[in-house]
Amino acid sequence: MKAGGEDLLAEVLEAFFLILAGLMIAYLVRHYIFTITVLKNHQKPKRVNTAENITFQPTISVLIPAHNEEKVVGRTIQRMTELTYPKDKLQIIIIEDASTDKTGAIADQYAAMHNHIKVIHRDRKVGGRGKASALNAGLKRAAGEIIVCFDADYYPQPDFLERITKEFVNPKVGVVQGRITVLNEPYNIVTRLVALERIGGYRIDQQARDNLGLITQFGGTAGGIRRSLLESLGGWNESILAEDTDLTLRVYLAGYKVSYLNEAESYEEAVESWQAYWKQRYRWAKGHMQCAFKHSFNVIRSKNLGLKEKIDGLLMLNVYFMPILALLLWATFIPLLILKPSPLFGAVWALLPFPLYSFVGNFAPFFEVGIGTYLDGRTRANWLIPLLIFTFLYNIPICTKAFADLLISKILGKDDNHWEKTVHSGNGNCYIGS
Amino acid sequence: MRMVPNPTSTTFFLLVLGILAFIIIMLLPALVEWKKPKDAGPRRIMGHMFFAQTEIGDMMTDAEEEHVFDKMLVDRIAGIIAFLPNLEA
Amino acid sequence: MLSAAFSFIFLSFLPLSYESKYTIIIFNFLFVALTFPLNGELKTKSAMLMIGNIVCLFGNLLFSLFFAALIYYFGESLKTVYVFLNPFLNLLWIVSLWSVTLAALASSDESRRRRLAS
Repeated sequence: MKAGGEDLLAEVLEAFFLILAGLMIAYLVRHYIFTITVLKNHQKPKRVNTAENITFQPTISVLIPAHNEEKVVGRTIQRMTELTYPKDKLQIIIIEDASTDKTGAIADQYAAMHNHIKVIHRDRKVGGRGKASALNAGLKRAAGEIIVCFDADYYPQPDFLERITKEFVNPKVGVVQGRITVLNEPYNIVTRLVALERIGGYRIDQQARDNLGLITQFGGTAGGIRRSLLESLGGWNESILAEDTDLTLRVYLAGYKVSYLNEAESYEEAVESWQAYWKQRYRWAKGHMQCAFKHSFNVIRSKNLGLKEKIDGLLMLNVYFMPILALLLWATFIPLLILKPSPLFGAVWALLPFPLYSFVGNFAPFFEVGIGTYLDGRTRANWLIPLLIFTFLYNIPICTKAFADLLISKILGKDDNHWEKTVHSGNGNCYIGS
Repeated sequence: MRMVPNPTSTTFFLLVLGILAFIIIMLLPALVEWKKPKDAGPRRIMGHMFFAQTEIGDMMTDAEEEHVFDKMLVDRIAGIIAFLPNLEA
Repeated sequence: MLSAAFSFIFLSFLPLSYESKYTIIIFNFLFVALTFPLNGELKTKSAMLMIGNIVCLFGNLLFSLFFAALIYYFGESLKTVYVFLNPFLNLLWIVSLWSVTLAALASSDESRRRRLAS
């Protein structure tokens, strides 16, 4: 009886293990496909609709939500005045969101000097409820045909707006996302590892999705969206922490697409401590999971998405479950090694040995980051790639906690969408003329 | 897997040291670049010209970016020169 | 594929564990497939491939001896630890070696471009 019970347990564990391994393999194969796609397309000429001779200059409203950003917002607003886009077609709206520092005063100084800069001050009664709420407030005052968003720590290249607006020539393009590069990369090991992650995420991931016609993600900043589309979608969703991912899915479900433009770049200030890293990634993970619960079935049922978009959409939505899957996989494997594997799965077991999966599979994300840095022409930065093992391991408790908190809030019926803001220190300012 | 016949405590201790040394050696390039960075960034993005604390010579650009950068530099210099008095007049 | 096949034949004659042979084959296949198509000198790639094989052999020998000693002292149940940890220890050295290779290839590519530009 005892032996029979053990065999049954082994069979159940094995089946569970195979399902988890299958899901993990899907993500890891995706990394390889993305990286090889970008490598192959690296030398190809740019798409026709981004040809240099196209002139398309719609009116643009730039929204910059800012909550206690006195150390960086001045530099960002100054950069907005240096953009080469015609000033008569440009409106800059700073949404000072219940700040308790000099953010509002700094924004007001620039507004006084430049006619095309406006400031919205939100007090604590209406403000401080997160980025989505601030952006919606800005949207009400926006007059431009294209809405471009920048976080308060961003520093785009001067012709950023010209570059992204060309993509809107294609009527199917609803959103254009630019590339993000870490400005304070040299500050410490955290910023350097985050910079590597960003390279993998934008140079490879986003670029490959764009090349393959998959679900390219709008990152909520350094990107533009058609105002008419945004208004028809009801603006940003204030009940979700990852309002950018939510908007991405709603754009695709509405039959539009997000275009990624690697040549339109902005600097950002990355988190500078492991504590700040935890808070930021926790918010991203929880927000993403909220979107996964909300949109997974919509993606499957959508008539506007093809099969490959649906598959990639589901993988993208559930990406923050991957560290939890990895943990479950390891937790399943250990008792399986102790119990005898069942005869039913014997042959399959021989074909999918754990070393092969772990070795080849786990190498995939490093391959992605490494090729990204290689294509950027970086040299010694590659030497830091092995340290990403620790950030991947660090993401496991982050994602596990995010999932646990989300489940608890769903069970208790309590919405916990507290926006934990990323604190910016201005340590990247020394790398730009200021 | 072969069994080591009767390993002594010294052998075991040396093996532990060996594993630790192997891990440290494998992580050595990462540790060297962390403590004495030679490519700490930030990566220069197109159109950005001012770096207060990094040397231009250390920066990496690909051929396409260099071409664009040169054109921008030439345009800026031409703009500056246009305002200078004509010393030959 | 050729490199993997060659190393499989070569390794058949070496007294290594099943996991170690597997690791060397996978390393050779991955390295050749993913690194050799990149720009860079063939001698750099070949040198790193050779170094990788030496590190792989040495590392796996060390792991095997260590875990054999561990099992001798603490019992057969630690075989599970060996099977579980072995791939991650191997992942560590392959990622390190591969990242150094990428840096070397990028450096030589940049030097070549600077020489052409000057």
